[in-house]
Amino acid sequence: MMIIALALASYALIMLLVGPQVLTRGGWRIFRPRLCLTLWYSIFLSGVLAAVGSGAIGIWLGWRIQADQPSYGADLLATTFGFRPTPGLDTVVRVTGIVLGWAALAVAGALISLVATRAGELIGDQRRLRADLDALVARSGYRRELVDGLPVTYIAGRNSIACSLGGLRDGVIVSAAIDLALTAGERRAIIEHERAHQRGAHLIFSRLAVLNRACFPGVRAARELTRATALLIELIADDAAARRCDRTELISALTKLGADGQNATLSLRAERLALAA
Amino acid sequence: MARDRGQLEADVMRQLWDADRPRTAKEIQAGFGADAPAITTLLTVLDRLRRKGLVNRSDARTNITFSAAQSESDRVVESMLQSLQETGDRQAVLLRFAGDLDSSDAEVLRRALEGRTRRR
Repeated sequence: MMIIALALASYALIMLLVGPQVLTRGGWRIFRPRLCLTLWYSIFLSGVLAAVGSGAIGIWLGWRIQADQPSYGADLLATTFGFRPTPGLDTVVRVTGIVLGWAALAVAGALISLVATRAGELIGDQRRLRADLDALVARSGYRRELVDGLPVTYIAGRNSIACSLGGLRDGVIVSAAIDLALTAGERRAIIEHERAHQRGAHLIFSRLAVLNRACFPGVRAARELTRATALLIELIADDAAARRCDRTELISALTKLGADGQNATLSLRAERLALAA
Repeated sequence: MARDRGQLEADVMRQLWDADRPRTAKEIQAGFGADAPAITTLLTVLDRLRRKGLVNRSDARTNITFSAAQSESDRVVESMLQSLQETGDRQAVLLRFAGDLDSSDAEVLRRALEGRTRRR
């Protein structure tokens, strides 16, 4: 049992250190965003499961050492690593096991509490945003249309905004600046980009990344996961939109919206789509 | 300098959003200064904006005025995005076409594109 716990803990640690090293190198991830995101989350979720498994075994072993049999810890070491049971070792293992078991329980409790608090805040933010957007649509909405089943609402405004709340039932909000600057085909490409976000449940990936970073604020892997998620979901949505409508329309929309130079990534995303054609 | 259709429509809307009262086509034309489009072009643009739902046209037979159908949302949107930025949750609650990407993401994209172009 102890060997399994150690192996799981080692796997989680290796994934934590190796994952960002492997997945942040090379240009392949920009041209294979779906594969890269899948690898990121396979590593992340398997690492989380391994850490949870290791912690659970640690707690269970600690509990057995404390409560089950007085010599259980020494027996465990003897069967796992071949130590000969001695009275002194028995006490040391017993105390260490109890401390490790309680420490694992405390860490697990703290992380569950942190995740629950942050998740609660995210739900609160989402509710507030939904109410704000409803008020915005009531105040500034001037047209509503259904694009292949997806409700699209246009709001008056001179800034270029296209956004959605990410749920399948949520529509897309497009500002007048985009309505006026782009052709119908280009607007459709933007709407398909938002649809791809909703169909791909991209907000769930973003939330997992945000929750992970909240649990481990100083850890590089958590920072890189958040950063990679933000970039990769945009590229995946671009690819999906390019498949659903004319690729040139999306390239043209990105180029037009990026022409003011305020957001350099828009023109680079257009360049990537043109190169990938 | 000739404006494209979208630019002209956007310029007309800016004037109407900034105006404190409905404007006639002549007043809107005057708002362009020396670079004003012809009144017929302006009326076509205003009609197109009306069909899009952005502009209201008065029912008067003479002295027809135009006004923005809805007040603009920019300040509300900005404060909404700003409050989400402060909580750090924007990325986790709102999906924007522009994405939540910064200059380091642009650098990653640029390097990958340069690598691909060199190989071609």
